Amino acid sequence: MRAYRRRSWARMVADLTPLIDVIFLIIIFFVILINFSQIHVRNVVLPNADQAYKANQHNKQIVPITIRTEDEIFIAKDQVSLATLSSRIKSEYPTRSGVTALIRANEDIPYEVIKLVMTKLAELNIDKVEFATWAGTPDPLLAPPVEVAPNET
Amino acid sequence: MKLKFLKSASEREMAVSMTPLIDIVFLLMVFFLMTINFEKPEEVLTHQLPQLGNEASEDPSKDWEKVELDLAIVKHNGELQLQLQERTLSSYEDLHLFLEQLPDDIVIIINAADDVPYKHIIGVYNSCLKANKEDIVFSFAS
Repeated sequence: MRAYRRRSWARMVADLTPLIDVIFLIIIFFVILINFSQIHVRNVVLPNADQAYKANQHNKQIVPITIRTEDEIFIAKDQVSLATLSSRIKSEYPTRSGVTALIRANEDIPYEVIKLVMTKLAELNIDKVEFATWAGTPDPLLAPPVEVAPNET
Repeated sequence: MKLKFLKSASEREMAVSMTPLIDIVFLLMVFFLMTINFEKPEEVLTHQLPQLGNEASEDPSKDWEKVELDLAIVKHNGELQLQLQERTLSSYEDLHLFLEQLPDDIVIIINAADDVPYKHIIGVYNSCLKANKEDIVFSFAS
């Protein structure tokens, strides 16, 4: 008669070391990332231009203005509104001589918003503006004609 | 009497557990593959804004000879058009060719409708620079 050996539960111990390693790694990563992340601010589709050049940011005082939508305007990583833009720049840059405004705006933003921002900058005596672009040929004025598929019968 | 000798290094078990290392390496690899974003390098177009309210302080001798050219970006039947000296242009190439024929010391005043997308403002500005027209002003009139 064949005898079966009884299952020993003492041998089935799960090794928790890798799990703890990974969990700690994830915790450390998110703790570091959560405070300094500007990914959402920088996530902007810039217009293309082939006459732009690499900006020389050394020895320059830059006011970085990111415009994602009409309601999502950022100075550096802080969200502001069109109404509070001037006061925010005034408080953060008390002496504005020689300051350059860097406008990073989504390519589909209506010109009205850009115009308002530029008007406010001019009122604050900031006369140097840089428009951030990506290198490339600008999108054509007229949208390319949509190809009509042959009628399916 | 029986002497006890220590085992030599080759006889001792020197196993290094690679499991945690591989776990972390794979985790990092998956994370970076998912979050990698090939950012295009950013460049800039520079522009000089007028000083509002300081018109009197400007030197009038600088600009008195300069010819001003109004460049309007309008929407007509849902399509964007450039209007320049009673001409209607429908592409940046046409604008570039037209501007190249003009002297370099003219002032171009860009006047765009409020709903024109920003990319087309940059497109027009880019064409002006391409044609060596660097005196460009944005009209803030609504």
